[in-house]
This record gives sequence, C-alpha cells and structure tokens, in this order.
Amino acid sequence: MGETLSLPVWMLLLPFIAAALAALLPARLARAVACLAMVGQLGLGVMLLRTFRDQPDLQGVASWPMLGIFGSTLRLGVDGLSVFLLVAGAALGLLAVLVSGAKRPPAFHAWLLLFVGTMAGVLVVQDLLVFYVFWELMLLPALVLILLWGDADRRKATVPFVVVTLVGSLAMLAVIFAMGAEAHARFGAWNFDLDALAGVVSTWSASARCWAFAGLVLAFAVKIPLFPLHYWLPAAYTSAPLPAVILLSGLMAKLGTYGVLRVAMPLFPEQAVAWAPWLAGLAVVGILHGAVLALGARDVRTVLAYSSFSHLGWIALGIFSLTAEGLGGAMLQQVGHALVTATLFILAAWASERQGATHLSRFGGMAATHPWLAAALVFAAMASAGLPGLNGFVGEFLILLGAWGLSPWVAFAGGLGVVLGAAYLLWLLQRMLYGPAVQPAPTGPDLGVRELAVVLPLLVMMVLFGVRPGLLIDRMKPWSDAYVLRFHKAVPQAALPTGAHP
Amino acid sequence: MSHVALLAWILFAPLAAAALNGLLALRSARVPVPVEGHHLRPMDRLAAGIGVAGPLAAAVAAWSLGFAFLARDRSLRLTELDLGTWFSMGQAHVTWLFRVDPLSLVMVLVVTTVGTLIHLYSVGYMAGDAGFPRFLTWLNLFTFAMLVLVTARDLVVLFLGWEGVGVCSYLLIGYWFSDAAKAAAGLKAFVVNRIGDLGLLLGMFLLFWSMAPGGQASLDIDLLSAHVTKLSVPLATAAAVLLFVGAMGKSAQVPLHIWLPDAMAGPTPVSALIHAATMVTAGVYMVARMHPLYHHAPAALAFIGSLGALTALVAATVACTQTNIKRVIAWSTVSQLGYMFMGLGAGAFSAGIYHLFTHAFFKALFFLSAGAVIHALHGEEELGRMGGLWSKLRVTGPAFVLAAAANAGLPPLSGFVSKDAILVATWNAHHPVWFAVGLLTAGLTAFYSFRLVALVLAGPPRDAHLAEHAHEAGWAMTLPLVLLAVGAVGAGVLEWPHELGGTLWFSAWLEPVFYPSLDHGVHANAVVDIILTVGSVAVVATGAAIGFSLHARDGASTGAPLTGLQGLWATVKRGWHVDEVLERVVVRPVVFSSRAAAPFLDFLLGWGARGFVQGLALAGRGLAVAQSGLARHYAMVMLGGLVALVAWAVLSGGR
Repeated sequence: MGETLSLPVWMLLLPFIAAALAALLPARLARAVACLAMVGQLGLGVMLLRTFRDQPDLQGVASWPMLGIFGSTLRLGVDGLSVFLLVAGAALGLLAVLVSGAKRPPAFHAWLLLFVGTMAGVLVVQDLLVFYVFWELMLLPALVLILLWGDADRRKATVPFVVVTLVGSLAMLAVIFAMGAEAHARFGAWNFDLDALAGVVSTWSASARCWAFAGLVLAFAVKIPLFPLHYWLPAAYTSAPLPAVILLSGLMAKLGTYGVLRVAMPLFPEQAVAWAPWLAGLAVVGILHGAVLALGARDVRTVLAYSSFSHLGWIALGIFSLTAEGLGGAMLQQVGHALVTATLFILAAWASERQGATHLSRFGGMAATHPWLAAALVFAAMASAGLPGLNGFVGEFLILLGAWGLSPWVAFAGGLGVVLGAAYLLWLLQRMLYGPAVQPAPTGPDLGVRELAVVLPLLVMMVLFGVRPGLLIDRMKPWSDAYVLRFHKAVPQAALPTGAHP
Repeated sequence: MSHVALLAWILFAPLAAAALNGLLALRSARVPVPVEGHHLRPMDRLAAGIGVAGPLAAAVAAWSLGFAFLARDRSLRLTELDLGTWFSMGQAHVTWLFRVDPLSLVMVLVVTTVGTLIHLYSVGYMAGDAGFPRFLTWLNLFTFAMLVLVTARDLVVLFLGWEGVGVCSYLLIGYWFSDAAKAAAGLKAFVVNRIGDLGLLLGMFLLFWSMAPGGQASLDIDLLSAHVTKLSVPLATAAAVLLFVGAMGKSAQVPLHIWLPDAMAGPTPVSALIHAATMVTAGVYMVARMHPLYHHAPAALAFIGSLGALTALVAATVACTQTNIKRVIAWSTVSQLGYMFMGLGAGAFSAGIYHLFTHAFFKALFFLSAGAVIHALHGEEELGRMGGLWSKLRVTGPAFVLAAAANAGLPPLSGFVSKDAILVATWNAHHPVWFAVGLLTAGLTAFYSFRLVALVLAGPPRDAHLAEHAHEAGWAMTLPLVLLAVGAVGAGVLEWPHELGGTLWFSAWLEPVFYPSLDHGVHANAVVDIILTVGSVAVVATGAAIGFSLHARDGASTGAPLTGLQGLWATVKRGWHVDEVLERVVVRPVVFSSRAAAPFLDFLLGWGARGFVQGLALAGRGLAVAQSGLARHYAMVMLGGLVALVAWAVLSGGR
C-alpha cells in the first residue's frame, strides 16, 4: 500500500513525460519519441498483465499524498475492470502513432500522447475528484486534435461535442462535491476516495441518491453515448484525424461505460437496479437507431461512426442487464470493440486515401484492384458483425443472453441489431469493394509491408480472442463475479430482474 | 487410428486445406497470371490438389469411422473430441466438444463424400477462372464449417458452424463480385439468414434461462435433451419454434426462402454443394438433433410439418414455371426441404433424415449435370436456348435424366424410397392434409422434373448454333457425375420397404439416436402402405408423362402449356410475389427510416441541443461575463456551475 511508484503509475506518467519531450523536439524525433513511448507503454502493459493476479482486488496499488484539504491519500491501481482497458489504451496509442504519418508536427504527437495519458489517468485513479480532473482534461487533447488537424467542417463538429460533454460533466461535478461535502460533514475532512464515498452516500435520502445517480449517469452516458445523447458523435468522429478517431472510438467511448461500472453503480446500487430496465431500453434504442443510421449513411466514416454508436449500445445493454453473463460480455466487448473499431477506421481511411474520397458513391470494385485491402476489410467487418470464431461474437452472445435474463423483449429488440448490423456492414462492403470498377479508379498500390505490419497483428488478435476469449474473460471473471455478488448483497433480492442471480 | 484421431482428421483436414489455399489465393490475387482458356495455371494445380485432398482425407476418415462403428455394439457408436473451454461466464459454459454418433455420421458422410466429388467437379468447372484458388479456399472453409455444425455437441458451437457456412455461402454466391447483382444476392442470403439466426439465438436463450432455476443452465445438446421433459410444454413449444425459425432461414422455408433462388448467382458447384446437398439441410439436421425437445412440443412439430407442407407445395408450383435451368432446380430444392420438414413434423425423424441423405445425392447430381449442360453451352442458363442435347452429351444426358427421375420419385430410384417413406409416415401419423399436399407435390415434382428433361435434352435444338458447339466436359466433371449417379440410384437399397422385400437398414442405424422419440405404439398396416405407395407411384408417373410429353414436342415453349393459364403462370413464376410483398412490408420501411426517419429524429435532437446552447449563451450574456467563443463559454459554464454546485454541496453537507 505504501508504494508511490507501481506499474500502473508508470503507465500514467510515461505518456505525459513523452508528451513534454515530443513537444520540444523536431518533427521526426517527436514521432520517434511518441512511437517509443507507446511501445514502452505497451511493454509496461504486458508486464502488468503478467504480474496481474486473477483476483477481484485492486493491484499495483500506489498511494500519493493529497493536498491537505482533499482527503489524506490518493490511491492508484488497476483491477480486472481497468487493467485490460489500460493495456488496450496503450495498444491503441501505439496504433494511433503508427498511422499518424511522418508529416505531422511535433505538437500533434504531443497532444496524442496527452490524450493517452489523460485516459490512463481516468482508469488508474481511485479518487473521484482526481478522476474528474482527468475526465475533464481528456476533453482538451480530443478537442485540440479535432480543431487543429481535423477536416473542413471541424468547427461545426466541436461545438456540440464540447457543449454536450460539459453539461454532463458539470452534473457529475455537482454530485462529486455534494458527496465530498457529505464526507466533510461526517468526518470533518474532505474525502473523495471511492470506497470511502460508498459508505457516505448510503445514508442519503432516496431522492437525493436518485438525483446523484442521474447526474453521474448523465456524464457517462454522454461519452458512451447513450441515446439520445449521441448528437455530437457523427460530426466528431468524421471530422477528427484518423489517430484521434482511433482513440475516441477505441477507448474514450468505453470510459463512459467504465465510469458507469466504476462510479455510478457501486455508489448507488439501488438506483442502478431501479433504473436498469430503462437504461437498458435506451441502450437498445441506441443499438437500433445507430444501426439504422449506419444503413442509411452515405459516407464511409459516417457508417463506421454510427456503427460504433450502435456497438456501444451493446456494451451498455450488457451492463444494465445486471447479470453475470451480460456484465462479462460487456467487459469483453469493451476490449473487443476497441480492436475492431480501430481496425475498421484504419482500413477505411486507407481505402479512402486510395480512392481519394470518403463518399460511398465514389467507391466501387476495390476488391479487384486492391485484393488484400479488401480481404482485410471483409475480415474486420465480419468480426464487427459478430461472426462466431472472431472476437465480436462471444461478447455479443453473452450480452444478449444476459439481456434475456432482464427481459426477453429486450433481448429480442437488441437482437434485431444483429440483423441490422450484418445489413449495414455488408452493404458498406458491397458499395466499397464489389461491382464494376468506378471512374476515377482508385490509385496507389495494395497494402504494403508497413501497412500489413500494422493491420495483420490486429486481424490475428481477432481470431485469437474469438477462439480463446478466455485469455481475456477468464481474467476478468474474478472481478465481475465479485462485482455481481457485491451488487446483489447491496440490493434486496426482490428488486432484481428474474433472470439475475449471484 | 483411434476414433478420436479420425474425428480430428475429419474436422481439420478441410480446415488445413482452406488455410493453405487461402495463402495461395492471397498470393495469386496480388500477382495475377493471365489465364488462357480452360487451363489450370501452375498455382491453380497446387490449389486443386490441396483443395480436393482436404475433403478427401476427411471422407476417408469418415468412412473408416463408419466401418469401425458398424463393428461395434449399437450403444457404443459414439466418439467425442474435447478441445477445452471456449468461454465461461456466469452460468454459461461452452466447450469445444465435437461428437460423432450415428446421426452425425450420416451428415459427415454426406458432407465429405458428396463434398469431395463436388470439389473434384469444381476443378474442371472453374478451370481458367482468375480467382480459382480463392474459390477452393471458400469451398474448403465451407466444408470445415459444415462439419463443425454437424459434429458440435454444444448449441453455441453448432451456431459457429451455422454462421460459418452462412458466411461461406455469402462469399461464394458473390464469388464473381465484379457483377454487382451477384454480390447483392450474397448480401441478401446473409441478411435473410441472420433473421433466422436471431430466432435460433433467442431459442437458445430461452432454453438456457428455463433450465437456470434448476441449476442446469447449459446449451449442451445432450444435457438439454436429458432435461427437456422438465420444461413446461408451452415453454418447450416456444423454444422449439424459436429454434425452428433458425431452420427456416437456413433451410429456406416460407417466407424466409426468398434468398435461395437468388443464390443461384453463385457458380454451379456452389449451388450443388451448399444450396442443395449440405448447408440448406442444416435446419433439418438441427431439428432432428433436438428431437427430444420437439417430441416434447407436439404443437411445434405440427407447425413445422404444416409450414413444410406449404413450402413443398408452393415451391413445387414455382418450379414448374421457371425458365432458367438452375432456378428450376433451386425451387425444387426448396420444395424438397419442405418435404423433409413435413416428415419431421409427422414425428418420422429418421424418414426426414433419410430423405435428406438421398436428396444430397440426387440433387447434387441434378445440379452438377445441369452445370455440365451450362458448361457445354458456354454459360447459357436459359431453357429457351436449350433442347436437343441428348445426342451431344452422352454422359451428362443420362445423368440428368437419372437425377430428374430420382427427384420425381420414380421407382426404384432412391428418391422414390425416401419420398414414399415420408408420405406413408404422414398418413400413419394421421395427417391426411399433409399426405394430400405431399401427393400433389409429388405429382408437380414429376411434372417439372420431366419438363426440364424435355426442354433441355429432347426435341430439336432451340438454338442450333449453341447445340452444334456443345461438347462433353472432361473427366474431372464426368467422374463425379457417374459416382453420384450410382449413389442416386443405389441409396434406396438402404431403406427398401419391407413390403417390397427390403430391409430398413437406415432407420435401424439411426434408431439408437431417435429411440426416445420413436412412436412405438404405431404399427403400420402393410396393406395400407402398399396402397399408398401404388397410389403415389401412379401420381408421379402421370405427372412425369404430362411434363415430358407437353414439352418434348417440336416448338414447345418454356411458357404456360395452356393459353388459359397465362395470368396465373406469370404470378407463380414471380414466386407468388412473396419477394415483392416482403420488399414493401420490411425492406422499404427500414430503408425509409434509415434515409429519412432516423436522420430526422437526429435533426430534431440537434435542434434541441442547439436551443439549449443558445439558452446558455443568453444566460452568459445576462451575467456579462462571457463575450463569445468556445473557450469562454467553457470557462463561463464551468465557473457558473462550480459556484452553484459548491453552494448546494455545502448546504447539503451541513444538513
């Protein structure tokens, strides 16, 4: 407990240190530093996974002293929920740097590293105030990356992004201060430690807890995004530069579901149970709404943006099913979707580069001119469509299984997303890859060695996690089992859905 | 070799072939070598060798296992291959457990034997195609997925095979992807199948959670079968129907049959292997595999039989009117699948599986000989340009006639035996309506089968130029025809009726599997059986005679045989407009919401959000803190929020 430096702490510090370095160095060196830092980050992540014991507790714990009035110590560490997201963040960071291109200025890489660092911060801190600071800081690199290096209509994209996010965040801030103040009133000192707060808020009146839960969920739902708070998403995803999109859709979206699991539900379990069916309903609406929008979208990036929105609905659905199966599926899907969405965005960007367009009417027949790119795209799309044997399936299966435990109708409605998902993904492939060659024909060579080196490991992982999801899910299971158990102890059995069980 | 090792060979030889051919396909896609005529390039030869060796090795292993089983006691005919856990979470434990019992072995033998022959045929049929290695890759991969489907002991692993064959089907239908219509047919097949798959998934969920209170939540087929009687009948019926929705998609039952005729866009060997002999029978297999559940849910069985009867009749009528040689056979397949479900619905699981077995031979033969005709005519598929080919195609011609006769159910061919078994079963199970529909369908089947024979082979050629240049294919294509013809003729021996001096070997083989679901009380009356058989043969012979004589005349058209029928003929030819109706009721609303309704909803949401922002901005001006710009709004809102919240926090803290 007494350590100040542990692997998770290093993974928090490294991106910030590297960002400072990258900002000061010339462009070529900056990219090299960024690349090295992310390799190091991933290496640390692998070391963390090797030392991680498959137990539900917090590991790699470090304690830092806090400023006098804000509680005594800040705990940092990872558990079964956060460890894989932290490593996924490192992997996505590396991917983002690899595909960023040599022409980017040093500042670009510095902001990219900051983005990775702030998200690592959200994942490792166990103090709600510091969590909030990182949560807000995370917005800054995202915004800067879009505003300075985004597409033509980036300004239009950032306004809704900022506004919606801020509204949510303020609600969260309000709740956090209310809880801290309660702790202050109770113990005579400010305290924002998550474990400490759980005891504090349990004495609040039902309506106060209800409002507090709503405030927290609002903040997290914006990031997921949960219907109807997805308003900002398509513009932000389509105007952001590719490396930023990888981090936005790959990790930042999952921090929304992470927040629900880490903060909102443990603090207010009764409210979570009471609201779960409604939130699951919103998740299902999001799954279907996103899929339908993806079907109608005419730009390759918009299709993928809506697809991401739809898939995050699956994750939320798994969580709000309140079953062990659904939760496990959601946790698996958090990592699995990061892999798939990043791959799809990268491949789509490469295809658009060669076609010189992102509008789907300008695509066609690419399977004949660029067979390897097409093969990779078909493969990744199948993984995204939840084909068994690839990594999307097990998560989706468990989520829907859990959803049936909540309500068969929810499972049925969510299941329609399986059909629509296949439809919009295959329709995307049809327009990009098949049919006669278009004019002007796509230019440039098929996937080169460097591109293959980036994308091949991702495709291999899709098979690996599809066939042996136990590599992930078995290590998440102790945490999720303990979580469900603790949750069920906190809430009277009668309040739980029929299918739920400890 | 041990039985487990044989099972491993059966599964992984095709997978290894698919992997190797996949590498070849990737390589040859990047470095195109020009193709000259119908010749195999060096890389294609390698691909052909690997592609045929994979399923052949599996077939050899399967037959070895079969003979090993025969030597064993009936209760010991079981082999399992356990490859560990797939995933485990909550109560859901799924293991990579593969099992061969007599039922699975029938399927494995069909898939590997017929499969190997079709792979060999493909080498001849696809020679000279630029994507040759890719074609064999998908075919090998399909074989693997199909074998997973029929050997899985867990429903989730079965589902992997189920979707795996679906994706291979998608890739193979759209194999000539530069033709947008062909690629779109693949898309349609996959999406329609996904609707069925959703039903299958929901059925699994229902079974899982209904078993959960007893602590027996599992999707292991054997465990489910053992505990299924503990379910209430309504629950079992719901689960059985949901699972059957999956079968409706995969096995093309009304109204989810619409993808199969369009799937003929794929190369003909694909139609033979996937869309006739194996994949489309997966639904029949699945229902038979889950027979304890269906036995426990008689209402679900009645539903299956009724829908099967409807499908059989409707598809047979459509088959009578088609003018494309492959579409006739495709609709015929839909109809025969309906027949199989009718048999299952009557509780005659082994008769249903037996029809699946014989159908695999004669329908594969039908498609492959049709493919040889198309090959001979340089890709022509329209009946309007065929005719007069009998003298040109000395191997294909007789093979085509045999296939048509077996499909029609003429004695003593295999189709006669299996179809008769189903008809007799429906009568004995007291379903006179199904029997009548079956009889009518049998007549129609004979009619369109011999209409096809007459239009393709008999009379003077409708296109003299094409017929003149028609030529028989090479041995790679004719050898499979001969071997399949042997199967189509001889498979009837395995279940030759008692009344005609035969032995029911096939049902005896399956009895250990179906024993719990057999109706031991029903004793068929031999005299009734003979009357039924004679009656059905008479109907079939009449249908065949009319079909042949109407279309073998000089100048016989491919249209309605009687002028008064033309209106009805046009409706039937369009598949009774089911496609158009579904297009209007399902596809258009979805497209409308994707293009208009959902974006409009988002527009409204955005409008609301903008209004909210402007409200904030006004409030900001009121405070005279903010001027304009993003950063200032940000700071202002933060500050305002902070003040308000800290105030509230302190107040509530002081409570």
